[in-house]
Amino acid sequence: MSAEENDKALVARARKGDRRAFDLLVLKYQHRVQRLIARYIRDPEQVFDLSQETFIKAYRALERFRGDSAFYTWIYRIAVNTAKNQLASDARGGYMVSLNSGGSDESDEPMMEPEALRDGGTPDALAATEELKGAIDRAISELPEDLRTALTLREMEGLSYDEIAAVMDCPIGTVRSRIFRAREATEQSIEPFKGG
Amino acid sequence: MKQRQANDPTTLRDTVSDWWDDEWQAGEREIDALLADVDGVRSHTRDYDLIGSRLRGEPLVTRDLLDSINARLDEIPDAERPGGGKVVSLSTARNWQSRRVWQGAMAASLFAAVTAVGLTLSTGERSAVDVETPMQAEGETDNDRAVMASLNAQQLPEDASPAALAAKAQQSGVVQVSTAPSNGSKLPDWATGRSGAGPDPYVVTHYRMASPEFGTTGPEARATTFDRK
Repeated sequence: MSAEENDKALVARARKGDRRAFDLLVLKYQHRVQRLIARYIRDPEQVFDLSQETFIKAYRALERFRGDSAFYTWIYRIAVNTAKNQLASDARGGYMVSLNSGGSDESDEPMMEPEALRDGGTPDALAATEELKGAIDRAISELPEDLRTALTLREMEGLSYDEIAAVMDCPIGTVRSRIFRAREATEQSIEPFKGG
Repeated sequence: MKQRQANDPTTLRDTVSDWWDDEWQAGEREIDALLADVDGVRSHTRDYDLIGSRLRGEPLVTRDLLDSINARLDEIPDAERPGGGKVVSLSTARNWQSRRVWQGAMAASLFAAVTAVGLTLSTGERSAVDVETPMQAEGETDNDRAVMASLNAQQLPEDASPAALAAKAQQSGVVQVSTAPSNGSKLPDWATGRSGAGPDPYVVTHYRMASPEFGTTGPEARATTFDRK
């Protein structure tokens, strides 16, 4: 089964009432959905709320997902519509917001830089986040060259395993193994810094 | 393509890595294995997202929303959840119940209507035999007798003049109705609506002839609804 078919298989199970199948879909796409919504919405709390809303809507509409498109296309569309509806709603109540904020409110600007999820909260949380960033950077820099290259091509360039194999001139199984080992090593390095 | 069983932690990590990258060639059994350790998948996806977003220079702080999403999904009524047959059967059972209630109400109202009609009919018949209504107690009115007399009287020739007709009617004592303004003629009590006057005798007569089965119960009620002015 391809990735798309895997998702459809999970959708089919979720439709039959298997909530764990829907959990997997949430786990796979929740971060991407949050980043997508963050391009429309500035307030982080609103981004989280709308991301939740996106998955609730998707769950309620699972019966109507015909599988003509990929699940991620479908969930992204729901996310974008949810974000746009929020913007429209904010715009309708915009006078009050503008008056209260001195007229400098720019929250209805779509496709802003994804700053909504910038580290917020207490100084302690900020410090913990900085530590985590540093730990990830260190772990990646300490990776063997071939692992780091494979992971970087995957995460930064978005290349498929086939394409990475072509670039690195190695079998696809080797690419698979390198990426997995790079992640495993990094995970272990950042474990003490995750803090729950 | 290589297929893996996600039965042990290392294999699970490996599987999640492929799955995360959309490079997982799975069958139903492999999906079962992944579903068996959703918490493990959750932990690894969180880490993989952190690593990937750091490499891309994205803001780190996305949130794990699974618990809050599940809390909200728990609040969704069963009927609105995807679940195929179960939901449908629940819904069908509910429809069946509501249909039964609805049918019961229909049957009860039909029974009540039939009973009411039956009672009305039987009461009417009995009244005709046993009970004297106020109208019957009064017996024939003067006007009734006058009408009957005029009907029994000798027919006038077809070419009789209006004056002759009027004269004949006056002889028999029938109250004449005219569209012309009243020239001081005195209207009977029932026509003026004075208190103590009986119902309109024409209505009563008509009712008795047209609906004899309601003859004893209908006329008074019906007459009171007429505006006598």
